[in-house]
Amino acid sequence: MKGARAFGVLLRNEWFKARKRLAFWIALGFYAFFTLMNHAQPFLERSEGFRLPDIWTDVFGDESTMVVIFAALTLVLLSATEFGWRTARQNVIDGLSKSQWFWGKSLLLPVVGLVFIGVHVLIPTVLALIRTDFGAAEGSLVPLSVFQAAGGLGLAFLSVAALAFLLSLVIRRTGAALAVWFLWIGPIESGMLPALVRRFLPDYTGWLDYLPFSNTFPLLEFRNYDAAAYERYAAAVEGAGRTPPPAVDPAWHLITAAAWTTLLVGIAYISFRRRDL
Amino acid sequence: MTIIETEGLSKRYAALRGDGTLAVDALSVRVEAGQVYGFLGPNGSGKTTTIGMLLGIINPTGGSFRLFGGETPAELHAARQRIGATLEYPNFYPYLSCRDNLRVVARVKGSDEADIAEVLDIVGLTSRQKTKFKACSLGMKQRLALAATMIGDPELIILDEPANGLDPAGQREIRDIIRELARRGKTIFLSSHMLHEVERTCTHVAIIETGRLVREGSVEDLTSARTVAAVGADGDIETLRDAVSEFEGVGHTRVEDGRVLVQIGAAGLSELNRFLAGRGIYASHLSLERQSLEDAFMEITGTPEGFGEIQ
Repeated sequence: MKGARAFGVLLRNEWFKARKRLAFWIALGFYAFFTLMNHAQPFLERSEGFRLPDIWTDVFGDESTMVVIFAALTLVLLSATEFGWRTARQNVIDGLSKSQWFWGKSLLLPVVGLVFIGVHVLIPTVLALIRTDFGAAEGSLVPLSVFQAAGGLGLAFLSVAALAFLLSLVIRRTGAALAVWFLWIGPIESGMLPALVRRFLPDYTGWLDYLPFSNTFPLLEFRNYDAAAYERYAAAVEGAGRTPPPAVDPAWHLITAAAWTTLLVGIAYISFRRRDL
Repeated sequence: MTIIETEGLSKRYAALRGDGTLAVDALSVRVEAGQVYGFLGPNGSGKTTTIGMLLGIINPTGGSFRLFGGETPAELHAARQRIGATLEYPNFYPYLSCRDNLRVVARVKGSDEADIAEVLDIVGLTSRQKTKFKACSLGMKQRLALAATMIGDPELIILDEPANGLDPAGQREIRDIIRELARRGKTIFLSSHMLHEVERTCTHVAIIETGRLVREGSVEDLTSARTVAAVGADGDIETLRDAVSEFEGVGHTRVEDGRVLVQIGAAGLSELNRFLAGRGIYASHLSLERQSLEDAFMEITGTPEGFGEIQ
């Protein structure tokens, strides 16, 4: 197998294995249910703002963190089990090179990301579409900033999922890889590291915003891509008597997310090539 | 044509302390096209590690090897497309059916999915093709592994303990399939503890111990080079065995079918008879027989009788 044909075969095989797996559909179904429940109340109550284009602030808002976590969990599930079952080893015995196996498996990053983000965006969009009064709507229902925010969400997912992918291939056990990943995005990155940096390197606390998980937060806010959305947000915060935080330019965070993705997948590749199966 | 050739192939597993474990030590073997090559050795002798290196899942730490004459990474990758192999326990996706598992294998091998029906038929799994792998019996799993090795009509088939854990009927089925593959002209590299099976199936063998090659040759040469005296006598068999053991130059003895078997040259047979008579033991049966592969293996590896998993 060479070139594009190999790429196609690897992608088809990974998707075949994923779609036949009940755990994949349970994870996706659970997330779809979670998303549906999240939007059910404003939909049923016909809440103000639950319509296009206002819905984008919700779709690409705080709840985006959940899709990143769910999709990364699923990725670990689909990757680490290949070692427990020794099917990674068998795939290589059957004729894949180790590189082909690795790149085939790494295709799951965009595939799983697309599927989960698709569900994440589709459900509220369809519900909001039902509640949209097209005659009264002002401006574009799907502005360009939606696509920018979707790209930011995708890249945010890739950088966090790349860490999960690396841990899956290094630790080779589903439970342990998940535990270490949660430890990293939780207590380590959000608690221990900031405390250590503030204590010993107080001049470098700004770098903490660029750690793999923290770096994703500005990418998951629609107002950072859409000036009008930021103005609405700032007005709401000021209306509550508080000072709104300044708008964040996502450019550096996008670059950082791409860099983390490349670095973590690269380390995973080198580690996988060097170790026995 | 030489299908497999290793030269000083070595593998040392790293350890946090010390030099680690030398699993394969400068192994040099050669497998020619059409041979059914038995790769024998006690547990932990380095058989699986050697096969793992040939198949690209274990990185060698020394020496080199060639498959179908190729030795660069690209040549080895191309060569591995011509190999069907199973290593240790059958490894498949538990949630997929037998057929779907073979579809994954067929895609990996770039082979026609039409092969699947044929190989399922050869291993007798056609009626169970929709059974999920996790619901298969060990025998079915072993047969599925054999089916997977046959997809793509490979020229070389590498089997590591293909009959492990099977009952005698299952072992026989596996042996029949291997023979059928050999009849079709496949080169077969077979690692097994089943020495009787290997003797019946293989044309050539290599015996390794603690990672080193201790003997390589045809099964015929290995077994006919040694003759065994079978001694029977009235009375207690252990008394007879003790007496035979005291005969000069006798090494390992064992009891089989009420007779004491001992390796001895043809010239020593009358001497042994005289020796036993001098001890008051009169042989009721005295014959020379060709040594079995098991006897040769025991003698070469110095393995005590009835050890480990040797059967």
